[in-house]
Amino acid sequence: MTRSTTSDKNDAQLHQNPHNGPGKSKASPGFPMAALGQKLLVFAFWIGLWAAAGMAVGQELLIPGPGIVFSRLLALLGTKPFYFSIFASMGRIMLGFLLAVVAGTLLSVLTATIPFFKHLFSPLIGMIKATPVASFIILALVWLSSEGVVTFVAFLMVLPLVWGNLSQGIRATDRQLLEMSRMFRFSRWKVVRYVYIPSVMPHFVSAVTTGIGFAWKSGIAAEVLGTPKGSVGQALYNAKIYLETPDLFAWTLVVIILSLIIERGVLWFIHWTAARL
Amino acid sequence: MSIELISIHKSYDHQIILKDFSLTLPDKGIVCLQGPSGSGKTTLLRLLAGLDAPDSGEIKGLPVSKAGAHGPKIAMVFQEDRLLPSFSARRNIAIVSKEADPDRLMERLGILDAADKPVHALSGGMQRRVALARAMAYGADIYLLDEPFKGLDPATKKRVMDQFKPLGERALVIVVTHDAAEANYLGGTTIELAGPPLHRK
Repeated sequence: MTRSTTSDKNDAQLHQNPHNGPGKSKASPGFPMAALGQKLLVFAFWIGLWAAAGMAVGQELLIPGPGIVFSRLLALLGTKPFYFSIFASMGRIMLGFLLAVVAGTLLSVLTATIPFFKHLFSPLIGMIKATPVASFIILALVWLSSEGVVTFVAFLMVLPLVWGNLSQGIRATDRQLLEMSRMFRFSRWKVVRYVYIPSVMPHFVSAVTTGIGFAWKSGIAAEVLGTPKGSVGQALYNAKIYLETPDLFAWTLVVIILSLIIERGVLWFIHWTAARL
Repeated sequence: MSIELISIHKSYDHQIILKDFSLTLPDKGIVCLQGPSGSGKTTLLRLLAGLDAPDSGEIKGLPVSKAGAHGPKIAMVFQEDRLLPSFSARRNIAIVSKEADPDRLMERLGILDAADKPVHALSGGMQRRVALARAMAYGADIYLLDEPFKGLDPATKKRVMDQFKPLGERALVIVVTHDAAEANYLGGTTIELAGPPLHRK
């Protein structure tokens, strides 16, 4: 009896490393389909677990199943306010993030070159780092509009991170290379461009990728507490008070997916800029 | 104007490296500094380079502890290669001089094939030669070379030394070396440093 061709194809997909020869490590998929297959299996596992939990609890209020959440998500994707909220939230949060990157960079250069400013700003930044997000949000709601709070909070979360990482990067610059650049009479710009920037770059990338997560999470939290009109946080808040748990889950998924997209986008932008320097 | 060191004292961490050390250097030519480890050869180079200042004594003919200041151009090859790791060999060489021809220098030292690779990807011997090419590209009046040929195999070493010998006709080339055979091959004057406390033999 001959086997059908479809089952042969499935075998090829599930077979982890069909093209590996002897001596090759089992961990590396020798074939792009195998890696994709693995990812799909993992995804299916967790979705399955979610569905099982939903059915076991039996109450949509507590744990809605993946089916209903995805159908709510699809419904949302068809509405205009959905897109407005996303762009509005991203805009406010990214503004706070970018301001923090610029301010953090300038501040780190300032405190690295002039000790007086280092003594002046260090305690302030230490305090900002130690304060819980919620305190900032509630305080800021007293002073600023609910939209402004979002930008302000994202800014405060990212500033100490960028400042700390860049300061460390500047301090870590190889003293031997600096001596060499003195001997060869590098202009100030050359020293910055060829010695400092390459040294600081990994610290900068690390700060930015971590910071984007900080900004996004704290920004959404600020939106939930402040509920500015037309924001992702407000949608989360409304889903909660109207007890629409499927919406809550759907919006949370949106937040996660946006976070991943923004992180990738920022990393790509950094590498694109670095290649141009 | 020739360079003079007069009664130099220098210690690091309470360890006396140079004591009442005096030396007159010629305007040009090759000078080999020999001596055991710890005898102060690198310290001497750093004082001449202006990277460190003597505890007491005088240095005539060079700006004291003002590395990179106006005065004679000094090309230095350190014990560590001190190359810009993320840049190519060509860039590392070109960066010190607009007029230099990096390709010609790399060809003479046998590293032209690796011209565009980032230097951190090169072997130790090749990195050394990039550092040497950089020093040659600078167009200096004085060369301070700290164990410049370390890590090179005998054939490469000879080829590289052949490139450096002619420099002594127009510049002062000070070479620190452990290797008596190297010093012999390079010629010029040899100064031997004894262990601390230091004085010229």
